[in-house]
Amino acid sequence: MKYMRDSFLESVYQQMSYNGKIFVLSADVGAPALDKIRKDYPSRFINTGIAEQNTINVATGLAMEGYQVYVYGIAAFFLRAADQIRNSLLLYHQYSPLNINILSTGKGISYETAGPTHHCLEDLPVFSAFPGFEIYVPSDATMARAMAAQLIQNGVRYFCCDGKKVALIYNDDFCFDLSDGYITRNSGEKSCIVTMGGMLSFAEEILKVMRSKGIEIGLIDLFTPTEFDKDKLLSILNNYSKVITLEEGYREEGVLSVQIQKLITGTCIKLHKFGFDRKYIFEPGPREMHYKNAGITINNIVNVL
Amino acid sequence: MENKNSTETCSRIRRMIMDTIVAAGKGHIGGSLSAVEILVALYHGGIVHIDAKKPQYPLRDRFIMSKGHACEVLYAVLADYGFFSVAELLHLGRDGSMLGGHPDRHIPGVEADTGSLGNGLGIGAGLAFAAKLDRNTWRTFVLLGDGECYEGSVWEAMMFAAHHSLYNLVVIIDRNQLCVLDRTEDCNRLDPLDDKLRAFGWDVVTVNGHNIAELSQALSSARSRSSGKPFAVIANTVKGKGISFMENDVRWHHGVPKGELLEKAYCELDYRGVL
Amino acid sequence: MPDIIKFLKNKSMELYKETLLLHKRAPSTRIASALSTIDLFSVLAYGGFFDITNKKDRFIISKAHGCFSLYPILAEKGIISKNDLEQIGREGALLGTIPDCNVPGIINNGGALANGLGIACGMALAMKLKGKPDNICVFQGDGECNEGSVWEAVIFAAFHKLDNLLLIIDDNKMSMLGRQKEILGLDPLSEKFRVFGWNSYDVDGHNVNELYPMLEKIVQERLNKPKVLVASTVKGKRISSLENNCLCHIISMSSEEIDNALAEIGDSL
Repeated sequence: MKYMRDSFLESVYQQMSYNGKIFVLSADVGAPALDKIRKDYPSRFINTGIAEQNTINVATGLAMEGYQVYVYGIAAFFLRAADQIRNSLLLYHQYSPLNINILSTGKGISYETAGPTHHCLEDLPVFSAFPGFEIYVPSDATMARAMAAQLIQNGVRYFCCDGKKVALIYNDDFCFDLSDGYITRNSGEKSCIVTMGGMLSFAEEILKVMRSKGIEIGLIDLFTPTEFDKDKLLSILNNYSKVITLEEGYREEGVLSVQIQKLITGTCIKLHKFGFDRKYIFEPGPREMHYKNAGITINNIVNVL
Repeated sequence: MENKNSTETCSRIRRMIMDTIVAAGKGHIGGSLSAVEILVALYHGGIVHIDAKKPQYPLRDRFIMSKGHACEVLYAVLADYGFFSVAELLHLGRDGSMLGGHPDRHIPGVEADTGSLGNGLGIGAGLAFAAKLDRNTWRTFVLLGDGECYEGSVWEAMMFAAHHSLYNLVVIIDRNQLCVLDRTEDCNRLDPLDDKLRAFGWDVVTVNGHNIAELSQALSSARSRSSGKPFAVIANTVKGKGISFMENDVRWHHGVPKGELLEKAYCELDYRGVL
Repeated sequence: MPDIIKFLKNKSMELYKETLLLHKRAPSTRIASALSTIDLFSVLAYGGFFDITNKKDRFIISKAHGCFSLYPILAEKGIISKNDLEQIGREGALLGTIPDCNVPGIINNGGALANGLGIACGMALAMKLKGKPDNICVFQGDGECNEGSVWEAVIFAAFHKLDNLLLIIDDNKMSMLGRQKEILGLDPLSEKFRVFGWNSYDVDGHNVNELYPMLEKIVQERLNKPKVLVASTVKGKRISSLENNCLCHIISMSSEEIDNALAEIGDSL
């Protein structure tokens, strides 16, 4: 179990030793790996304070002057800076490429008891509608590190990390090829689950249950819902009669359900969506309880498979 | 309020905060402890006119905890004041509990869903505007954290409140000098905060935020003014107040003491855990 | 009158004329907002102490709707062509009614208000890190100060002692739907900046005699504090139907009105 954000920031920290162009901003959000950056590179780190709008604007200005900028904050509160992401950052980026990486923590309902102000089931659907905004959702800490290490060319990216420690799915020596935008975890016969983020470990459980019944299902880790190779993924999904999207987002409006629905329109594939009802969740309780309330249980999914 | 009484109340609230956080296994302890006297002055001190038995009474005063992450102090004070059972505190965050990690309006006595910082003052300004419009005499109180003042939305609301002469709006700023990562003055300077508020058209008083008498006097004086301006009380406080190893330490924004530290905390709060 | 002042006043009149001509070609441009900028832009662009075209210094336009009056300056300096001015707003033209970063010489998108100052903070910080002496200037409307993002940046700039940053506020005291002081008052504006840790200056934004020495001085001033110039201006300056008209923001001038105004300038030149 490890925090995605720490692995990501550890890679940024390493890169800072040989890349003097890296600058890190935090909207008063901490992480152990961030402490190292603050300590060793104080002139290239700023705590911009609880001021998300200005944080994005400052990042834009720095990037316009040639810096490779990392912005760290809480997912729900980047929505506050949606205007700045759109008007300051992305408009300019389309005309003249910038290198800005927004690292958010607290994906979905990972702040399970903190209530709806800290939940965030909307950032991915909202931001995926912004032209040029590349969205990445690491499924564990190993992948988060690989993303930080590999995605260093110009681009405006949103890395959405779970707010909790997440089980490691990928070994340290796993060789990530991020170019297709997805990783095929398993190939199966009739049904295939498409998922991303911390939900992957949940899907792996389902894979095991099905295997115990003698059935192989497909499992795809779609770690970027905006940058994946659509033709390639469609050709894989075409091998199945049934596809299940599984996400910590709204069932119908979630970025996965929307993207996969769009992708398979016109095919004979049957789509089942697992996600949350489109409402805010006030009731505190562990994540499993929220999953259960939304009908996201191994049993329910196995029944559909 | 009598001094001895208020001291006892504050000690009781601190213990309740401790119990809540230990039971939940997490919580924003530093910012809760800094605001104890402020909330006790407001509620137990009779500044906020509200009847715990009638939490929806239309003419009640409104209190908004804009720094919603410090919900533990709010819950403790609301429970102690009689809005709900004290036993409920020990269920915070549990499956099926009424109390979540940030205040929401399902909870008796809570007026706004806060947790996303920088929004409470704007909501409060809307409430105060409505009261003024309807010629009602109830007032609105908002507790802001100092780090929250980095949010532009706070200054939008400051301008709005002054422009519309919301004399019935009182903001208290819990000036504990710390945000999550840093001292505020090392992150983005806020001082001179009183002059900033004055330049934005507010009446301002600065007090020791752990002195109930000073707080009560300042808060009561809000009504006797004739300037027509909104009123701000800057309460100088200590984050983690009451537990020596937490005081002024940025590491205790949230967290639960364990082992020896927990024993030390109990000892300093002069009890043995779970009231 | 010193030669430079005379020269700048002439430039002002030329810019005034060119701006009216642009408005005639593209009536959806915000002419009243642009007229309050004219004298400030002339002094900045032709005073010889600041590079408004973003080759050396940085010029960020935050109230972009009023900044189409920059186009004639960019054309005069050869950054865009005269033909571009002719084509404004037409299908396939380079110039729209609100300048964006696709126009040579302009580096930001100021159509959504109140972001320019924050962006400039990032740039000013970058310049300091690189040890570059360049000046960063933001041109902003007074109404933008109602946006919280401005105050986030104000707090940030003061803390980071961004003294290479100058904010010019075109204080025309008029918002889209009326007088600023009636909508959401800002007074005392320069005092607000002062208590937020800035050096603030007040000036008559149409008086070139005052503007030139003041801008020349404060653009280059480095006193460990960011600088703001609150320039008192008149929205719709020189056009009687617009001056003091609460709705002037959304009013377009008729062709006849423009021709009359142009004739008046012709007489004065």
